[in-house]
Amino acid sequence: MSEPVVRARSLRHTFGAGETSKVVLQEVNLEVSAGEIVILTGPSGSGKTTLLTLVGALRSVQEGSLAVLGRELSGLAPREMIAVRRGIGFVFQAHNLFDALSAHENVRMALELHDLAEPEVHERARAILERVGLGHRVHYKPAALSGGQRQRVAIARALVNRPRLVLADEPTAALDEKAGREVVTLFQELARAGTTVLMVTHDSRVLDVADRIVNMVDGRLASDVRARESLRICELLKACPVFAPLVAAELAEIAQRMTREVHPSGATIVRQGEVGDRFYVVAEGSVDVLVAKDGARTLVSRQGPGGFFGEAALLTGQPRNATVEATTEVTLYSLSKEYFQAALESSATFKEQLLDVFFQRR
Amino acid sequence: MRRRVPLAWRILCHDPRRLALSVGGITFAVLIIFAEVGFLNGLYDGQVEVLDKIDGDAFILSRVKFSLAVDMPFPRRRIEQALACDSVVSAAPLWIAGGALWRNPADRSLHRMRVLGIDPGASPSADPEVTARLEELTRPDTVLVDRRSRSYLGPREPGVVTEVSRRRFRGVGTFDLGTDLVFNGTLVTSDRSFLEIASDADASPPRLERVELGVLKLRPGRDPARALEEVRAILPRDVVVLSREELVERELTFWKVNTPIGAMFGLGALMGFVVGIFICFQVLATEVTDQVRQLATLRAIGHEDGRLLRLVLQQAVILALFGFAAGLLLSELLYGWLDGVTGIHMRLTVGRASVVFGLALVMCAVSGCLAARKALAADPAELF
Amino acid sequence: MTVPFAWRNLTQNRARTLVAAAGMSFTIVLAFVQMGFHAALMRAATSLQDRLDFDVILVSPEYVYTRSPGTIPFARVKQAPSVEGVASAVPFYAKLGHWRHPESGMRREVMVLGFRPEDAPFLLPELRQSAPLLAVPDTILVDRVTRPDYGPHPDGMVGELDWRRVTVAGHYTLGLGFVVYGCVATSDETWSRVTGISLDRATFGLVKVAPGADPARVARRLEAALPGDVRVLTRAALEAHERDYWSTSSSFGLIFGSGVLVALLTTAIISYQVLATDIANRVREYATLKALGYRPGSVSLVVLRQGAILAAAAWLASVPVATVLGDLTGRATQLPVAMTVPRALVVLVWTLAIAAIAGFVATRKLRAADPAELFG
Repeated sequence: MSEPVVRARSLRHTFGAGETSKVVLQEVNLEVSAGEIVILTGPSGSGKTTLLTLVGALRSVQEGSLAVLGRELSGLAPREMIAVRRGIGFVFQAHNLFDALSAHENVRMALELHDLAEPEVHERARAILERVGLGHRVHYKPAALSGGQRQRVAIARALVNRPRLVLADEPTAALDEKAGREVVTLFQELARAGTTVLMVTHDSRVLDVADRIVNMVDGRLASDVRARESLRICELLKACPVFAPLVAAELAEIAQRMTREVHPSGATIVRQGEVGDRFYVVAEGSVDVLVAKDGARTLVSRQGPGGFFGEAALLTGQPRNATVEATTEVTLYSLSKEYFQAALESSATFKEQLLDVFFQRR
Repeated sequence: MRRRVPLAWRILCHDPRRLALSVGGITFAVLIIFAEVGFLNGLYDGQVEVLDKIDGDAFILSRVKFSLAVDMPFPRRRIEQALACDSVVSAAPLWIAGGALWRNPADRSLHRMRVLGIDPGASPSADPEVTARLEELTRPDTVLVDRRSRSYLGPREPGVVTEVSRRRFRGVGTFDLGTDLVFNGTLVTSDRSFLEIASDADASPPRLERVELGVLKLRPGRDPARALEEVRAILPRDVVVLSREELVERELTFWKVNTPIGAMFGLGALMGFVVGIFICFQVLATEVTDQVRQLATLRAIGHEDGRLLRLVLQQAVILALFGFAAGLLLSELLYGWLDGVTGIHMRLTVGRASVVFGLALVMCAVSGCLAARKALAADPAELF
Repeated sequence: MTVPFAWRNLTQNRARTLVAAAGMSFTIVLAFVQMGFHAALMRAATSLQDRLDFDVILVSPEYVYTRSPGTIPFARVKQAPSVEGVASAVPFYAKLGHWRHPESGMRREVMVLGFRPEDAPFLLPELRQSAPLLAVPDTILVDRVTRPDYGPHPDGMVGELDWRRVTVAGHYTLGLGFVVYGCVATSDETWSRVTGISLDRATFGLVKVAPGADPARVARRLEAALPGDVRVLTRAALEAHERDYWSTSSSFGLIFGSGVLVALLTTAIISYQVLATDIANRVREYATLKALGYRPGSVSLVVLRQGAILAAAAWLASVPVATVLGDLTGRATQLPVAMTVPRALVVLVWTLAIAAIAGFVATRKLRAADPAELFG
């Protein structure tokens, strides 16, 4: 896996000093990979805005480590902080455009920072404005644009340098239905192209396209839900008879705790005789379950999407009773032993179902 | 070729009304400085203005005559003695008296005026208007009047009859000289009339044998410094011989060193300067405050502090340029008006305009730096 | 609503208030300085006459101003006491001469005052006390306020006044300001020898009226009694004449007069600007008051009070600065530019007036604004 775009470790931040000091961030650990759309939510005062400003190199790191776009921000000199900012696209709640400049010129203010020839500068600015749907208003000043259009200019300005990381604060708040949808689509495209988006928002449309939803409370990460993936896993699990009786919340919890694994064709996922520590659900591809006995391997079953394996060792505590190999490149979601046990404890029906299957398989 | 967005320019021009007010404020300050500088120089210039109207390369004056404004004559004989020198082509006497009493022909009020007495046959005047009237001056009781004499001296056009030092005189022409710190008007008359005019009742009566200035013309082609030395060698020590430049220098130094005028007008100009700084700072600071979010955004995007500083300073310089230009134009008008009212020669020279321009630039640069500090306080972290 | 509200509002954000007050203060100091110069001019106009002891003065019909006084026949001075109401009449002599700097030999203009030592018609006790010293021929008393570039003049020094050698017998403090930058006093006889003018031609006749007599009436009587070769003026009339001459006739009068106007205008413009900006910065506070339900009238009062406090504070800060500046300038230029109470008060009134106008205009805007909008 490539280096995470954002990596925070033990990040702490305090405002004020002495009697009026307030700890705004305590022990924040967060990793965001390239191409992820991560939402930060939480009540006011939860520290999400502070986190955003730290990631954006707009504030100096006090305690802990924060690496953004491969650079450690802790202890960075102001000049270097400025350099880091150039690789980031900022979208604020207020458009903060210069009233005196046209949309094109406002966007150019971001391009000024890089050494580009004039024709290129002109074209890039025009192109990004076109992309956000303002190709016909390129030379208009903010006063002649609607609220939504102004915000789109601001977004254009943030994106014109093709940043690898975009930090946004309620980017769609001022936008109407249509414009909002367009912006959301835009973020999606960006993410697909490899741009990481970290934003604070309450817009449900964005929640839909988010990869992760990080909830902050009192300066801590209260939860870090892989939103979309969770959904997918839930759907997967739901299709699986064993998991069917579980309620949405229980499914979500299980899904939350599952780790995504990708194995190439032919790889051995579980080896017979090893200690069993994980439970697997197949998302994509297929695996062969083989039992070796007296030197010969017998195909016991083939599991495709929705199938699962590995529950035996976890239930009995005995070493693996079979070898599982990937027949194609396979995407699995695995659950650790403790979470598996926890899931069993929490849902009697689940336990029943699983035991049924287990005994069936035996 | 990289073209930057002319942000400073755009911001200033965005609101024309505000721009006008801002430039107006700076123009006001520039005007104050121009006025003070104009007065100061005008007053100094006025003290030596009369020399411009005299056709002479060198001048004889009494050693103890410490200023052109005081009456301290030397013996006329010295002028004849100077003629003995080969380098001297001509030598003419110029009598000056500071105490002629002029009665305003219209309202009969009394005023003091300066009188210049010349020998119509040997006139040192360089003023064509005076030269044209020499013939008339040979007639008794005739005077020429400085047009720029203060208005309260009353009518002075040719033909006006008035009383000067208790005698009836007739004005037969006018010329252009100007007032100064001491004299509010000047008359030119013949040597014979001078005797009558200048008899100040409370002083020793004037005698044509005692002259204020000896006006010398030197032979062209000779080294002037050597010529002066020759004349000095001939004349006794009760007089000094000075070139035109030396005399002007000496007179100006007297007024600069011995009177508080320089300090007063300098203080006035300084006030104007500080007012300018204040006004410019107000303008720029207000603008920075209005746009603090945009400025913070620039920093968030990744612009350096220097960019913000440049932005503010560029605006300051633009304001200085406009303010100065407007101030320059208005000063032309102001100078014309003041010139007419006070009689002081308010001259707008390139040198003086350059000085004021420099001050205007510094003034705006200083306030620009102060306002830039405010701009740097725009915190991008506050934007979220 | 009580005053403390307005006060606390201001002290809340000390820095902002201080900057605003400082800006206004500066322009007020500027106004004070210009007014100082103008006042010095007016004061200098009668600087000599103010210190002479007379109720009615005889001057030449050709009297223009102190530097050009003309002369009167001594006979008229002798005649004056014969008029009803006149207690005494003494001659006074004054003429511009020149003093030779003892070291450099450069000459400078001085006013030479002459009087009979037994008369010493001055309101300055020091001069009256030192006058008897002048009985010795060719002695002078030197004005301490003579500019330093006239050279030293310690007691006992022998100097050259016009073309005559004289001995410095003592000093007094007078100061003639713009009129002339140096001054000496001598006995009438010495004066005559120095200037070469006969004592028959006096400059002034200083007349004192009998106790209880009205100077104006006595002046009229003198006017009637004496021939046309003298003019008779009361002190007030003379002052008016002098002031008028300096304000209208001299270039200085015009320049300083306009200087005062410009300074007051600048004060008005900048103070108004500062106050308007300050009020605009506090709009939220006023909006809060309105939203809380305070009547518009009360809010306006707060605005006006704040403006008044700011203006008064600015004035208060400027007075000591202007006083010190006045002292320094006065010493540097030997001109009487020091601060006076009337001037300070006039400027205070002016500043408060500007504050009132700024406040008034601002409150009209506030009245119109909707509290919700203000929170915008």
